[in-house]
Amino acid sequence: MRDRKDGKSRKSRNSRTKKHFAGIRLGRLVWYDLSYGYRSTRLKWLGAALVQAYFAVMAVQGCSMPGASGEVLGMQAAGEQILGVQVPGVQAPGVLGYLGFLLQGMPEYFLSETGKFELPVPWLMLQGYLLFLTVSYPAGDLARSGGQAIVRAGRRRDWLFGKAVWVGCTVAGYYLLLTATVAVCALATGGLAPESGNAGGLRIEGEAGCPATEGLADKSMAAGSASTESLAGESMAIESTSTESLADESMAAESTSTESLADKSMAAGSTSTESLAGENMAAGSASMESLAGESLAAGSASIKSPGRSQGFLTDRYGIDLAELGGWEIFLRWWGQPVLVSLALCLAQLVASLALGPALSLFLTLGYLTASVFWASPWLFGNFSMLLRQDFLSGIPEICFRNCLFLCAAWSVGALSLGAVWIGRKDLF
Amino acid sequence: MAKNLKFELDRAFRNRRMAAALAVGCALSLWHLWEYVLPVRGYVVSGDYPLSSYGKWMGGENYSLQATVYFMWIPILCALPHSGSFAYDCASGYGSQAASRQGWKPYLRAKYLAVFLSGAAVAVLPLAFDFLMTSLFLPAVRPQAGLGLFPIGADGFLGGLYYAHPFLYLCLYLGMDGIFFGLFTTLSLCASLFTRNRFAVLLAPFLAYMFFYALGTTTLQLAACPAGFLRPSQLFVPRWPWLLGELALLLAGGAGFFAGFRRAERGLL
Repeated sequence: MRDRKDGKSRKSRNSRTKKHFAGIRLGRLVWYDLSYGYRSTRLKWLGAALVQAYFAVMAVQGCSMPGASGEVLGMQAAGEQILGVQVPGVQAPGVLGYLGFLLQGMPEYFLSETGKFELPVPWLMLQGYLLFLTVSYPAGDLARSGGQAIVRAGRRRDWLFGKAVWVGCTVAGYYLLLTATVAVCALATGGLAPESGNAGGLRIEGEAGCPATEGLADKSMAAGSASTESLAGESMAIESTSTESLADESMAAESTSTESLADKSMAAGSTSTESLAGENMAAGSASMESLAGESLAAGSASIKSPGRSQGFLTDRYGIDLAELGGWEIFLRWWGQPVLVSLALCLAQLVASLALGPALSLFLTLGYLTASVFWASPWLFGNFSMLLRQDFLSGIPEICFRNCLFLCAAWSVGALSLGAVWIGRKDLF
Repeated sequence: MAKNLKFELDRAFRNRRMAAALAVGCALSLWHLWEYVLPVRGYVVSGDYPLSSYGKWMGGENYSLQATVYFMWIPILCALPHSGSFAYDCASGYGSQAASRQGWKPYLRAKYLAVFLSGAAVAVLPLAFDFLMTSLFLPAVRPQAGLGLFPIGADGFLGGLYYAHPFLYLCLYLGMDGIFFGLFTTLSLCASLFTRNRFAVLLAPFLAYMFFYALGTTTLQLAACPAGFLRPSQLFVPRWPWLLGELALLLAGGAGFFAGFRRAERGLL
C-alpha cells in the first residue's frame, strides 16, 4: 500500500519535474532564437535601417512638395517655377503623415487593356524587405544546428514556437525601427503631430475617401507616385500606378482620376490613359479625358475660393482625423500593418521549411503583388495599404475587425500546419 | 573545359530545382492564358479586327498580374537551379577536386557559363512557351500603330521594328532578356566570394535587381529599372545609356568574380 502511494507520488513528482524542465528548456530555446537569430541577421538589420532611412527621406520630400499641404500649385520639376496660389505656411505632416505616405499603397486598381499595372514602390519595398529579413534564419537554423536545438528542446513544436517568437519579435522590431526613423524625420520637419488646419489656405475638396490633387495648365503636379516617364521637356514622377511621357510636361498626382488638357497633362494614380492629339498623358488614373482648355481634376477635386486648409492628412488623402478616434488611428497606421506582416511572415516561415527560403519568398512576394492587383479582404496586403481602408476606398470589408480575424486565423493555421509538418519530417 | 562545361550544364539543367523553376514559370503562363487569352479567342471568327497574339501574350501587355509577378520576381527563380552551386562546391570540397584535376580556370569558366545559361533558360523558356501557347488561340497579326491595342509607342525602343517585323522584335527582346537575366544570375558567383551563406548567395541577383528597380523608380530614372525595360511590352522605355551601363556593370560583376577568386583563393586549393 505504501509502495503504491509512493509510486503515485513519485509519478506526479516526475511529471511536475518534467514540465518544469520543459518550461526551462522552452525559455532557453526562445532566448537562443532571439539572440542567435539577431546575431545572424545583423547585416540585414543594417540594410533595413538604410532602406527605411532612404524611404523616410523620400517621404519627407514627397510630403513637402507643393500641393501636399493644400496649396494649389503646379508640379515642381527640374527647376521649373511653381505657379499657383500662394498659401501661407506649409503644414507639417507629422509621424502620421510620413507613415501614411510610406504605407499608403495605391487605390483600387481597375483593369484596363490600355493601362499599366504598376506597384507602389515604398509600400512594396518596406513590406518586401521585412519578408526578406525573416525568410532565411528558420530554414538555415534547421539545416545547420536545428538538429541540436530540437534534441535539446525535447519537442519539435517547441523549436517551431521559438522560431515563431523570433519572427514576431522581428516584425515588432522592424515597425518600431520604422516608427523611430519616421519620428526623427517628423521632429526635424516640424513636429510629431500633423498640423490640423491653416487659415488662409486654399481648400481642396474631393470626394470622400479620394485623394485630391489639382494641376494647372502650365504646371504639373506631383504627389507620391511611383513613376513617370520623362518627356521631351521634363519628367516628373510621383507615386501613381502609371504614367506616360508627354510631349511637353508630365504631371503625376495621386488621385483616382485626372483630366488632361490639350496642352497640359495631369497624372494621377489611375490605371489607364489615352493619348491626346497634341500630348500624351500618362497617369495612374482610371480614366483620363482630354480637354480643349484647362481643366483641373483629380479625384473629383475642385479649387474653391480661398478658404481654410483642412490639415495635411485631410488635404492629401481626405482623412479627417477628427472623425477617427485615437485608438482607431493607432490600429490603422500601426496595428493593421503589423498584423498583416506577422501573418505573412509566419506563413513564410512554414513555407520556407517545406519549400526552401527562395521559393517561399517568391510565393509571398507574389501574394503581396496579388494584394495590390485585387482589392479583396482575402488578400491581406490590402489591410496594410492606407488607401484601401474602408474609410477611404469605400470597400467595407477592408476594416480592422476583418484584418484581426483573418490574420489571426491565418497565423494559427500556418503554425498548426508547420507543427504537423515538422513533427513528421525526417530530420535525422 | 568541354568536359567541365558538359558536367556543369548537366548539374544545372538536370535537377529538381530547374524543373521547379520552369514549372512555376509555365504555371504563371498558363494562368495568364486561361484568364486573358482564352476568353477572347472567339474574336478570330467575329469578323472584327482580330486581336493579335503579339499584343495579348504575357510579355506583350502591361496590365495583368501574371506579367507583373513574372517580371518582378523572376530573378529568384533564375537563381534557384544552379547559382548556389559554387558556394556548395567550395564547402563540400568538390571544387578542390575539380580545380586540382583540370585547373581552376576551366572550372570557373564552365561554372560561369552554366550559371549564366541556367538563369537565361529559366527567364526565357516560359516566355517562349507563353507566346507559343497564345499563338495557338490568337493569330499572329502584325501590330498596327494607332489602334491603341499595342503598348509600344512612337518613342519606344525598337518601335519601328515592332510594327514592321514583330517576330524579329520578339526574338531580339527574348535574347536581350536571356542575356540580362543570365548576367544577373551570375552575380551570385560574385556574392560567393563574400559569404558562405547559401541563401544570401541565392538572393544576391534578386537584391541587385530590386536595387535598380527601387533606385530607378524613386529617382525618376525609369529607364534604369530592369523590371520595366526587360518587358517586351516596355513598361518603362529602355534607353541605350542605361542598357549599356547596366550591361557593363553586370559584366564587371563577372570579371570581379574571376579576379576576386584568384586573389582570395577560396579554399579550393
